[in-house]
Amino acid sequence: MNARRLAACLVTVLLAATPALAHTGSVAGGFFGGLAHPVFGPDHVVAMVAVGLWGAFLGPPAIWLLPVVFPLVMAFGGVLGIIGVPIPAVEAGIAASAVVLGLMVALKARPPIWIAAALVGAFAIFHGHAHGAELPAGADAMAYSLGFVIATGALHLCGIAFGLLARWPAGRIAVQTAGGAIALAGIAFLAGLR
Amino acid sequence: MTVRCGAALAALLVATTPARAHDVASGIGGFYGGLLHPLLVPTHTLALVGLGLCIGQHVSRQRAVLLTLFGVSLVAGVIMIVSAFAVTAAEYAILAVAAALTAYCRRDWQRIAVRVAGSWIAASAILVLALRLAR
Repeated sequence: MNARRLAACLVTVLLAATPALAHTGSVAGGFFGGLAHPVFGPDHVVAMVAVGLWGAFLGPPAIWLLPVVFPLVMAFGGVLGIIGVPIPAVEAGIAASAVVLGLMVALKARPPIWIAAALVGAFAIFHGHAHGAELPAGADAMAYSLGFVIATGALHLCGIAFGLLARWPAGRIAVQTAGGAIALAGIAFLAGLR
Repeated sequence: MTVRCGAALAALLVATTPARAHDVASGIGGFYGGLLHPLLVPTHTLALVGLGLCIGQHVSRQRAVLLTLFGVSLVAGVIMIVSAFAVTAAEYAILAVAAALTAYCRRDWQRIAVRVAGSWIAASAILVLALRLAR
């Protein structure tokens, strides 16, 4: 079969294609939907990365405690969102989380671990509420939840990986600069809400 | 405390009802359907992985007893396969993988990874419970 015939066959097949009209509720669809949700919200992304950065900056036990506390409290916020308990100014809370956590990194803040955990936990409620309230009705619940918890954790890991640069003097400046950039992004999100 | 734990466990066992498991893959029922159930139903898999991680975390302290129990359970699982209760076989496979992974976590970062995985599983489970109760 020569190349022209092959191309003609290919074009015919492509023209015959119809939309996939994928059904909702599948496990794979739910998982990837959940995975995409935090990643496609820039306000979520910068706050999650800031949690990881701050954890790495504070060192053990914060480096693992903050990323463990966050998903658990976020789930509690998610429950509030799912059952419809209103939380005022959720979007402002998410933007404020980027501002505060970014500033903590930029200013090298070293509060006691329980204050850091409480602060991160308080902001996690806003993030969880937003995820819970926006959960698509047709999604496979388990797969969606797992997807967005894993995406959140992966963003924390990105922050931790970058935050580990703080071991070196030049890296410390880079991490603090990243914290400042996150705080500025948070201010921009706050300004955009008005 | 042990008595209370025992009473709570007994109460839970009494409260169980038949699972009436659905076919996870259409056309695959019976033995193979049961074998695939814990692997293809995320809630089932997650619960078992969580349990395996939990067991694995305790292995260093009571290694001999738990590993022996695990071996006995695996043998029981194989016997149950023969008896066509195939779900148990896959459950034990998932549990064994999760527990073995955790049991060999000796370095600090590995132990942290287990805790992080545990928090992810717990967070997902909390959300699913809320969704099931809300819908």
